[in-house]
Amino acid sequence: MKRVKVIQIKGFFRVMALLAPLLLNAYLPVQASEEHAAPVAAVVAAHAEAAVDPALEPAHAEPAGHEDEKAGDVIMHHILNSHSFSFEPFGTIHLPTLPPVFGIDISITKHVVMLWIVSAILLVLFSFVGAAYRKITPKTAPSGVANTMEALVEFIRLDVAKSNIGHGYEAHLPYLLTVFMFILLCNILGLIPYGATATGNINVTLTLAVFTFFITQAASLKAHGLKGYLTHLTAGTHWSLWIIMIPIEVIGLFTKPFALTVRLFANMTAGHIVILSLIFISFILKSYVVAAAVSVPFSIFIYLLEIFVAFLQAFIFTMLSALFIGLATAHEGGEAEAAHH
Amino acid sequence: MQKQDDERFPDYFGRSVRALSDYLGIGLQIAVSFALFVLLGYWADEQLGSSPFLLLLGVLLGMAGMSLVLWKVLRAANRKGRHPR
Repeated sequence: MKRVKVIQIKGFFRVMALLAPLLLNAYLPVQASEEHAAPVAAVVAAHAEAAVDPALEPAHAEPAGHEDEKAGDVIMHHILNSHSFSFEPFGTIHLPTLPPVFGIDISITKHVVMLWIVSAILLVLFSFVGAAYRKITPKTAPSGVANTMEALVEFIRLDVAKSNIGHGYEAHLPYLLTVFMFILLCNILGLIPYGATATGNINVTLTLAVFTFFITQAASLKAHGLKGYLTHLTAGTHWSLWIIMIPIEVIGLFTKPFALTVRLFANMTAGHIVILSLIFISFILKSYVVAAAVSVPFSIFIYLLEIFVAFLQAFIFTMLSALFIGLATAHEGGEAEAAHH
Repeated sequence: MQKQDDERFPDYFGRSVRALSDYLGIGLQIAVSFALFVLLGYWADEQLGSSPFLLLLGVLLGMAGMSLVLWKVLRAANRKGRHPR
């Protein structure tokens, strides 16, 4: 027991030693704010100093030192994408802006960096897990990280993919696992201080939903053939009604991925807005009592809820993707049934 | 690993989501398709100057479409009810 504790403390110090230079980012000029009197002013000043591209956020094209910023602006700044990573007491990292391509701004923003970080973590983690699995024999059980990941992977494989898609689910398993882990890690990293929620950006969620859309359509084409796919659009109605039915069915194809998009985006954004609003209540009312009685306990509660929501939303996105694929590949009459009990 | 307890929640959840699957996108589908027909009628009216007849036609088509969608869902539900899974 005691030894475990010692090892944990050692590990903690090791991690801190690794993180300290990152957190203090010594290579950046520290922009200290002059106001130490009011905590609001300090927070707000740091925000005002985060020089943001005026085209992206017109509300932030204010000169530094302008300390009377509204809570709503700070919340929006926290949630929206921006060209800089602000590490509040330490300073700001300005991300490079690239020249526009075909009139589209493709600069590297906060959320793009988060997507890269998530991808890198997943690559490293799962290479490690894969290597661990290549090493073990049928007689030994996986341990540590590999074991944890096995639980998640098996959960997605059996309870999500197999029970929703049924026959031939193995072909879609890589996509479902990737999307689950990716969204989960994006959501969790968004809850870490100084992190940004990439899934709180509607472009990211829309892209993920577009992947699901294309995979669903491809699976449907594969299962029914082109003729079957087109008769699917007429929904088995009389030919005189096709003029009404075909547009409705085509719209129906797009509504499901759209619902996926909005669900993930809104859930991730709403949680962050709620937490920040609760914190800002005490700043607006300028009272310690409110901070101790309302802001801190409630925001901690919502924060814990957010951790749950991070898992839940990743699960639901994956579950519904699997369900749509299952519905698209299910033949008339023969439903994809829950396989395992 | 207690198999019974472990599989209970995901099984229930999966079954409920599968049962809901027909109705997940239906509200949005009905709303958008109705709006589409009405706006098409409105646009055609603006082009041809035949206000308000094509708009009314669009409304009628949209209503017909909504009933068709509901009828389709009902038919599927009836079929499922006859062969319970």
